[in-house]
Amino acid sequence: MDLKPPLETEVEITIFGPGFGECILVHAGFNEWIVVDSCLDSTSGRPAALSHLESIGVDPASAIKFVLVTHWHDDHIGGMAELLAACTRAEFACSAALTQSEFLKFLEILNSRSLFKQSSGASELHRIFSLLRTRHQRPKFAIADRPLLRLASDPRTAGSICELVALSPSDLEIQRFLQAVSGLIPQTNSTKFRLPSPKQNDLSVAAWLSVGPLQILLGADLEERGIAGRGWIAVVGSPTRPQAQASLFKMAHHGSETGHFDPVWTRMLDARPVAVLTPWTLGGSQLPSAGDCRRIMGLTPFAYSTSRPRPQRVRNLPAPVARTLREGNIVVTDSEPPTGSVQLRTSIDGSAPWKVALSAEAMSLTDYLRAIAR
Amino acid sequence: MRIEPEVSQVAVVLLGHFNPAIFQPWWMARHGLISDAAAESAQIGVVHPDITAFVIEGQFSFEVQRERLAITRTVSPYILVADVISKMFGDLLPHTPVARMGINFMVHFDAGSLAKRDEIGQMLAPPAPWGEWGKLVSSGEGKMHGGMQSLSMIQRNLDDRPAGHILAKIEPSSRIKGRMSGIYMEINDHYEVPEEQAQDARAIVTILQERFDRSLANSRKIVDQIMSLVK
Amino acid sequence: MNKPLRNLDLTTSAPLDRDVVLSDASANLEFRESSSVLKDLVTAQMDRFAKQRKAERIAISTNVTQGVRFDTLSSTVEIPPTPVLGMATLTRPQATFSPLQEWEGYVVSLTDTHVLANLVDLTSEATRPGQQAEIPREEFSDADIEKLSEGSVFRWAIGYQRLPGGTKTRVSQIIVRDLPKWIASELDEAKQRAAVLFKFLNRGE
Repeated sequence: MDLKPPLETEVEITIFGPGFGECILVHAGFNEWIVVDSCLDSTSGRPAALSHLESIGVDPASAIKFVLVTHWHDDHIGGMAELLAACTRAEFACSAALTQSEFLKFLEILNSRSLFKQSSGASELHRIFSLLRTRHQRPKFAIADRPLLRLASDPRTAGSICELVALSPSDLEIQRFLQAVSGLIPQTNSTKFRLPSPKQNDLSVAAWLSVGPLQILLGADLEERGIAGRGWIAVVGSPTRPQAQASLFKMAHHGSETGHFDPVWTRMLDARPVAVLTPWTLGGSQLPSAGDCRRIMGLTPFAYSTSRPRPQRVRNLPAPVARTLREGNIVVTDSEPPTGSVQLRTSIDGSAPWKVALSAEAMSLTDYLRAIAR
Repeated sequence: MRIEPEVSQVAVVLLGHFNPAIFQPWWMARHGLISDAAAESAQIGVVHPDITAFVIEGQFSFEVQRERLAITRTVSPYILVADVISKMFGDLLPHTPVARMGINFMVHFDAGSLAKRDEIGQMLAPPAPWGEWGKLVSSGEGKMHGGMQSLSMIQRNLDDRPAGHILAKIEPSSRIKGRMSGIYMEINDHYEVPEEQAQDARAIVTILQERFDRSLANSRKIVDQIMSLVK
Repeated sequence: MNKPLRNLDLTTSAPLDRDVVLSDASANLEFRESSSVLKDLVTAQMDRFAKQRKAERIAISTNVTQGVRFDTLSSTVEIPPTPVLGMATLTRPQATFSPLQEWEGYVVSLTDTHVLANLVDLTSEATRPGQQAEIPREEFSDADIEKLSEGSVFRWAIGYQRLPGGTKTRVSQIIVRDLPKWIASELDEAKQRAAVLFKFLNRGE
């Protein structure tokens, strides 16, 4: 990992994860920075993007021009309120559905009682909206094929334009999500509950980033379920999406089978792009699986993971507690392995290939597959 | 806490206007606050319009008078006290006027020896400023040994509540029998709401739900600080 | 009749004093133990009650001696039966259990054999679910396993339980929390706040 800040004429993409979630920090040239999602660094407990910028001497208040939240799930939004508070000049964008009345009712109800010990994606989003209100700053709404940002990344020449375009969610996805959320609004006299993690990533904002000739596909958590008008089918099939091919792909949904769609690789990406994913674990399940790794390695040799595969058993418990877990055959694991990162740099004119640097926790997908097999 | 307490309990005390006669185990079971089995096993001390008291072994102790209600639990998880109060005054009796609440954490722990307990007592309440009488106080062997009997500290500047305080008390323990090395500590985390919010139970129930775990965590830290004087 | 009661300030939210010694018990009450706070409370309450009734009895007898009979009044005066208090029951020491480790858990999924849950480590004062557990179903009580579904919340404490006799055993206690219900006013207020937020986010108002 290079802890020197990028040169003005360098484009740098750093992908952090998992810690708790994932975050993409983009230097689009000439000290113009963009942040997509947020996660908490497992060491500092602070937003990973802020920790990194501070470590390389970059002031987030002046440097970050745009913040995009691709989804409201816990693992994409951890620490976003703190991050946004530090980015005093940044525009903010999120899915249009999150600003509709059905979702806002749901959000306010979830946040009306602090019964539960954790901060969830919903409470983080609530804090974000409250911050925007105090700033009198309205968000930009991300929907399919909408341009979100356009920067002249070289202020001296107004060349090398940086653009960020939302590829999803589609109208159909928004409609479906709002219907589902309406069904979750509790009735009087129903028992309070904690919202289980939503299974489907209906609202995920996939995005296309271009900086001069460089094209980057940010897949967020968008999945493909074979339904017309939704998921990757809708993205690939859109006549108004950017038609170039990307040399860098932040893989969708942790490299999973449901995040994969062959036409993305054949029509939206270069022949052998650099592909990065953030792993994800839930109990005995983990993403990417061994099968996912083999599939991805068949498509590109330049595939990386921000972190190692296996969740670790919790350590440092008092001996009587550890004994009790052993005797009961109860497995308790860290769901937040140490945050790793994959950093990619290249020249802003696209004349050089991506230079990849891995943090101590990150690894190639080849090594990741080897680690799974052990 | 660095020393495992020999006795610990949590009590939530509400100050308001109650009708003691209704707080009976079967009433609670009928409304799903406790199970039928718990109601059946309840040991009733008294049920009367002025005072009701009963124990459900291994779960809760209840004492209710016209102005005061106290629910105590001696076994973790203590959050169940907050949950039963939330249901009682959130779902069933929301119009009960409740103006004040205490979240109380009480422990008895062993300092290891009388000498160590003395050392702590003298650290907190030195005999020297008491002059010649101070010397007499700290003389004496065994049961004739004197010293600090009770000490309280109060914190009032709290910005996490409309009004209230945190009161910590420390005394020699009477529950750790046979050894004169026990220390008792009691932390009273007290909350008050403005009069306009005291006409029903909502404000206090909200505070209880939001503050209960943090209150206990803070109380444990206060106790642990004194425990650190032992180890 | 009684000594002044020490530290029985009913206006305090702190626990009442634990050991209050009374030299004489109330004549109206039968106690099975010699001292307790609760005894003092009941004594104080019954004394107040007795004084109130005594005032009423005096009123009645005065009226009678003056040749006025208030039969209806005398018939409404009732002296309550003397309650017998199970003080031993109420003051008997109970088991205590202070946890070495405590989690709040949220059920993610259920299988035939296990419960998969996200855990918030309360002992380290975590605020988000940084751990996960696969817990065999038999760790939950029969009553609780019936209640479990996705999103259920439970508390899990592990530590040593001490019984009054002095026995100490290591225990793992998992209890599903019985949470309060939504009330209409809470939901209405949330919807009003949502309407205000909607106006701001969509119209800048």
